[in-house]
Amino acid sequence: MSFPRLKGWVSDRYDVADEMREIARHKLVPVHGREIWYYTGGIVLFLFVIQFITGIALAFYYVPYFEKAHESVIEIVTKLNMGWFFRSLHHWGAQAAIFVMFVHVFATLLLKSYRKPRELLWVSGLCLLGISIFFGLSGYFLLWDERAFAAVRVATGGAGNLPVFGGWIKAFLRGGIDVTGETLTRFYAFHVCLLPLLALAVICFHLLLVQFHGMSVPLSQQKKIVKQVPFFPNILYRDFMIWLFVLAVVVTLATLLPPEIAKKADPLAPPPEGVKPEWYFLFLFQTLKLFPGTLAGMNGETIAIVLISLAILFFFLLPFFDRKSGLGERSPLFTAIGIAYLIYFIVMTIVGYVT
Amino acid sequence: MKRLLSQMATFLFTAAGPAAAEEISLLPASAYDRSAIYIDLALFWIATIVLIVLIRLKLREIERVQSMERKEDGETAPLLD
Repeated sequence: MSFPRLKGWVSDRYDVADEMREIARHKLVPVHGREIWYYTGGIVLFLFVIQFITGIALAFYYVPYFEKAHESVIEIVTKLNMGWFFRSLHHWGAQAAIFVMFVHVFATLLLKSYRKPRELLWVSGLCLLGISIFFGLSGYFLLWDERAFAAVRVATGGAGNLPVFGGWIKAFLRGGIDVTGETLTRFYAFHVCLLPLLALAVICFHLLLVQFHGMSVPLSQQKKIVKQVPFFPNILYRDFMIWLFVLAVVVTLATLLPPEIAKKADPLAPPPEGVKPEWYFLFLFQTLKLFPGTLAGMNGETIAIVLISLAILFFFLLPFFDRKSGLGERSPLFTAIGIAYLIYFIVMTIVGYVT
Repeated sequence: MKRLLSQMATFLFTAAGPAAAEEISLLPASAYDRSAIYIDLALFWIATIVLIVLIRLKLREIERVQSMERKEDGETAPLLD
């Protein structure tokens, strides 16, 4: 099964095997006490591959039209061979990808891996997190059930509260004044066309930057003697082991806890009671609840959205403010800021889940 | 009495009908299919663990050869003093 003639045919025309081998041989990765956190990036990449495969399989049978969407999901689950499994795997793969991405972001933040010269790695990673969250929201809406409908109405309404561009963003996302069948068509286009292209471009850019800069070594580990091991095969084999374990966990969740399908969405019906957004939106949802209807004569929700946007913008630009770690010095202030962000995210998510 | 019971049964049956239709079975309904799924899941875990162990053994062997190569390089390397 080594296909020598095919290999010969390819190498006659594109003799890149030796160069590839040389690159693989010279790619070294530092090994240190905090290296476990670096595998989260590889896990996200692996989960993205699962999402692409299961997403393509589901797209063969899904009907992106508001009168048929809900029924087509039910048909996928109940009539297609392994349809329930592919849908469930797609759901749990998305949850796992976003969870691991949050872990990767906070690990990068607390290990100060964003410091000079890796600022763009941080920015591209956060862009990827934003894209993934929008992937989650748009995918959730494709179900066209009453919970997804209410969640999208709240999320797009929240975006509409942004000053200046809010109204435009809301109209662009909804495809009209309210959430309708037009919104479903748009979200389908985002989910299967625009977002995958964007995600692919950002992933390539992110990986290119990782190759260019190499893996960072945390400041706390720099003084110690850091051993370097070849990426191929040492690190790749470790990645394989972790990916296999992650696959087994996601498959188990997909089998034991298939995601529910609520009643079909009715745009004229009131939203169901106790409806909550997906877990990764809970901290935003809970923050919005903290603000009163009006504050100093202004719309409380608008103030909340502006403050949240500023906090996210600061988070984005963190490497540019943290000059000390860029110079190889400790920066306890930014460690405290990172911990504050992490605690706020965890506490608000739990409070949002429990209440 | 028989008539009453049959009427009640009909009522319960027809009342349960639409409610059952609303509930969507998220896993294959038959017990045979479900047990097959759980057995497959167990086999999948066993296969995964075996694969992880095999990769671990392979990695150990690679690391052993790499450390031997390093030692050999160290022995044949010219002294710089």
